[in-house]
Amino acid sequence: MAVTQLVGAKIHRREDPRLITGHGHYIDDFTRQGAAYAAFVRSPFAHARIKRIDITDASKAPGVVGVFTARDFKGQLAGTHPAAPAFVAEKKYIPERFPIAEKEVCYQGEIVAAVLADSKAQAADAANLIQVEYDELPAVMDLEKALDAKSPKAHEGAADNISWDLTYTGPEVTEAAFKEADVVVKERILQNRLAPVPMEPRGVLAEYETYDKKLTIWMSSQNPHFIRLFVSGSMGLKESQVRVISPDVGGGFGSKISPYPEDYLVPALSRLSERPVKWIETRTESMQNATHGRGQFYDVEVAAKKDGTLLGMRMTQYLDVGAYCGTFSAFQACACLMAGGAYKWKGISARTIGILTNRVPTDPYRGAGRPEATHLVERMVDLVAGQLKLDPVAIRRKNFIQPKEFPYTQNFGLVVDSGDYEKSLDRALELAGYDELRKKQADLRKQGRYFGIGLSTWIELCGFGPSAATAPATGGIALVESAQVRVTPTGSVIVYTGTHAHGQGHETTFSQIVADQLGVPYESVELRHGDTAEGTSFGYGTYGSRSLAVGGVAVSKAVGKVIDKGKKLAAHMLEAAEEDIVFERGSFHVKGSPDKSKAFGEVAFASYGMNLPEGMEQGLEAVAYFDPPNLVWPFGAHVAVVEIDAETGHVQLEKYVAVDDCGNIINPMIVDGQIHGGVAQAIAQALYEEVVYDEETGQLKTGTLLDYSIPGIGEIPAMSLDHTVTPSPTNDLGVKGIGEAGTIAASAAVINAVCDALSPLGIKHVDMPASPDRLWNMMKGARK
Amino acid sequence: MFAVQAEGKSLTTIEGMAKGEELHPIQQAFWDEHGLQCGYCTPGFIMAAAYLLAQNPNPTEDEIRKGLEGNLCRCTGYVNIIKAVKSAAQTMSGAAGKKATVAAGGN
Ligand code: FES
Repeated sequence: MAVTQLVGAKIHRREDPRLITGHGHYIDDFTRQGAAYAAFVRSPFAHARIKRIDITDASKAPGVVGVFTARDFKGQLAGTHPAAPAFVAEKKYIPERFPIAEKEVCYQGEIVAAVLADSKAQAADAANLIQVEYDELPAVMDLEKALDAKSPKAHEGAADNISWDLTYTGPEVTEAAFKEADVVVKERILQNRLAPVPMEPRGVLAEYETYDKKLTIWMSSQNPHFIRLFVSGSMGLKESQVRVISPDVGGGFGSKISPYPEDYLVPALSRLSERPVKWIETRTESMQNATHGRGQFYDVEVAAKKDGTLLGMRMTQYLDVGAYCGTFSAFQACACLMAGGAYKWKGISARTIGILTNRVPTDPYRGAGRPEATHLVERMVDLVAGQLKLDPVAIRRKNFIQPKEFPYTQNFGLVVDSGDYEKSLDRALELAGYDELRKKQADLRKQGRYFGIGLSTWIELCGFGPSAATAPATGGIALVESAQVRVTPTGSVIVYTGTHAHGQGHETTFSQIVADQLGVPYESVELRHGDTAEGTSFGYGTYGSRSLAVGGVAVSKAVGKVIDKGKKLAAHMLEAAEEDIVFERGSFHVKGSPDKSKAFGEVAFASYGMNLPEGMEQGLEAVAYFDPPNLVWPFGAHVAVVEIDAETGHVQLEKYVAVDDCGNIINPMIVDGQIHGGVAQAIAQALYEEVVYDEETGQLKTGTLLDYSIPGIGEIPAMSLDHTVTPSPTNDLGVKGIGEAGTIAASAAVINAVCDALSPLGIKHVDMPASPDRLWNMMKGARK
Repeated sequence: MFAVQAEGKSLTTIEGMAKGEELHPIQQAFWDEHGLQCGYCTPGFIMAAAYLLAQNPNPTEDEIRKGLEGNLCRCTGYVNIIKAVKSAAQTMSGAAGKKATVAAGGN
C-alpha cells in the first residue's frame, strides 16, 4: 500500500482474516500437555453457613486427581479480594473475601469446593458427588430494607449492610437554587441490574512449573497486567515469575477487568497438583458469577425556573454492591459526579450509598456510572420540560454549556475539556427529521396511536486517566499507559501497548497511527498486546474508553522518541546539523534541500551499524508512558422514535439516530461499529434485559439466555449515524474514547421516547426495562 | 445437532469456507462491512448466512433478520451483520452465472 493518510481512513481490520476463517485463538482453543480440568461446586443458596463438606464419594470417582476445599488453599493464597477506592476514597466496610468460601456463603454461585480430574466430564461428574450441608440464613435483597438497622445482614456478624455512604456535596450547595425555583420535579429512577454476557464466557488455563517456579496463565482478560499483579501477590510469587497471556477475547464489556476467584484458584490448583489446569466457565456460571452492572436506584429532585432554566439538582444514588465489594464497584459512583450532564447548574447535591446484599457483586459494565448519569439527567430534563410544557429540544438548548465556555469547570470541579453540544443536536434533529416527526406524532395521536420521540444529549468522561486522579483511586497505581516501539534493522516496526482489545480492532487502528507518523507502509507495522512477557513492564488494560486516548497517545509518544533519535542519526549521516533535519513522509532530509535525504529504513539499518554519532548507542527503539493531563469528554445527540402497541404494550423502535463526537477519528468504520454495539446494549437495558433474583430466597431466576433476554437480530433497528468533530485539547492526537458512548447515550433516548409516546395517558415516567408487561399494566392503569 | 445425526451427510464448517487464501464471498463481506468485532459469534453467523443464502439467494432485510434469529452477537448490534449478508447476496448472485456452486454448508 502506498503511504498516504491512514489516520481517518476506513481501513479493513487486520484481525479479521483469522476470525472469519475460524482461526482466532480464544481461551478454550488453548491446552497443555497433561492438563487436568477443574470444576467448581457452588453454593445453591444466597446466604448460608457451611456445616460440612463430604468429599468421600467425589474423591473416589473415576479420573479424579483431587478434591479441594478452602483449607487446601490457605497455604497457597493470601490476602483478600482487592477493592479500589475508585470514586469513594474511604469505605465503611469491605467484607473479607477469600476466593473460596470456608464458613459462610454470601451469594448463589459462591465457590465452596473444587474438583480436578483428567477430563472435563469427569470433573463435572465428580463435582456432583460432593455433599455440602448448609444452614440457610436470611438473604438481604431489598436495597431500602437493607438500610434498616434491624435488617438481617448480608454477612453474619456485620454491623450493617453499608459498604459506603459518601456525601460529595450536601444540600447547602443547592439551597439558593431551590429557593429561586418556580418548579421542583421529583422522581425515583431505577437502574435495572444487568449481566454483561460476553459471547465468550471466562476461562483460565494455568501451568505452574514446579522446578522453575514459573507460572503461566492463559485467560480471557481485558487487563492481563493487573491480573499478574494480583495473582502473583496472592500466591507469594514475584511478578517476574508470572506471565499472563490473554489471547483473542470474545467480548468483555467490563466483566473481564477485575480478578475473579477462579483466576487465583486455577493457578493454585496447578501448583498443588503439579499439572496444568484448565477451567472454562459455563453460561450459567457466567450469569451467576461474572460481575453484574447497574443495580441501582436514584432519588432525584430538580429545581427550575418557569422559562426552563435549570437551577439545581439533589440526588442520592442507592447502589447494590452485591455480596462483596467489587474491585472497581465504587467507580460506578461517578454517576453522581456526572449527573449534571451537558447543562449548567447553580448547584448539585449528591450522595452515594453502596449497599451490601446477597447477590453477585456489581462492577463496571460498559459505561459504568455514566449511562446512569445520562439516564438520570436526560429523564429529569424531560420531566421538567413536560411540567413546563416546553419542547425537549428547547429546554436543552437553553441550558447547554456553550462552546466558548470550554474548558468548563463543572459542579464537582471536573474540567470538561471541549464540546459543541448544539452542533451535534442540530445534526441529529436534521437526520431524524424532527419537525416532520412531531407532525406525524400529532396525526397519529388523533388516531389514538402511541408514537414517541426521545432525545438524549449525552456527555461522558473517559480515558482514565491522569495520575493525580487515578493513582489515589486505585490505591497507588496511576492508570496511565505504556508503549514500546521497536524498529528492526530492516525497518519493520513492532509496537507493544499495555491496552488489550477485545473486539475494538487495536491491531488495525494503532498500526494506522504508527504507519502515518513514521511514513512507513502499514504492512510493516505490527501491534502486539495481551502478553505480560512482552513489551513494557506494566500495562493498564482496556476499559473506560481509554485505549486510544491514553494508550494510542503513548504509542504516538514512543514513535516520537524513535523519530528524534532518527533525526540525530540522519544529521550525522547527512553531515548536517540536527536542527536542520526535517522528517516527512518516511524520510529525513535537510531543511530546504529535499534531495539530501535518508529514508526511514536506511536510518533504521544504520542505527544497528558502526557509524554512529559520538555517544549514541545502537538500536532504534523507545518506551513511552503517557500521563494525560485531563480526562477526555465525548458527547453527542441521539434521537429514538418508537411506537407502542396499544393492545400489547410492545415497543417498536421505528428509527434510531446517533450523532456522536469523539474528537478526531482514526478509523470511521470502527467508530461506527462501536456506536452500533453500544447503542444495542443500551436498547437492551431500556427494553429487554434485567437480572432477576427471587426477592425472598435470593435465587437467580435469570441464569440462562432463555430467561435473560439479550436482544437478537430482530430486536435492534437500523441506525443512522453521523459525527461532529471537536478535537480534544487533552492529547496530541485530539482523540476521545468511543467504546462506551452508545451505551451511555441510548437508554435515555429510548425511554424518553417511550414516555413521550405515553404522555397522552398522563404517564410521566417509565422504568427499565420497558417490557410489554410493564407497559401494558401501566397503560391499563392509566386508562381506568 | 448431535454428531451421529450427521452420519452419511456432508458437512461444512467455517474452516471449509475459504479456498486457500481466497475467502468465501460471505467471509469477504463480513470483512468488508465490519460485520464482526470480537469475532466469537462470527463463524456461527457466517455459516447461518451461508444456509440462508443457499435457501434464499436474495433475501430482504426482514428475511435476513428471520433467517439469522437463532444466532446471538453481543458486539455489533447486528447492523453490519445485516449489511454483510446483503452485500454477500449481491456478490454471490452476480457471481452465480460464472460459478456453479458458491454457497456451501447447511445441508
Ligand atoms: S462480534 Fe463479538 S459477539 Fe459478535
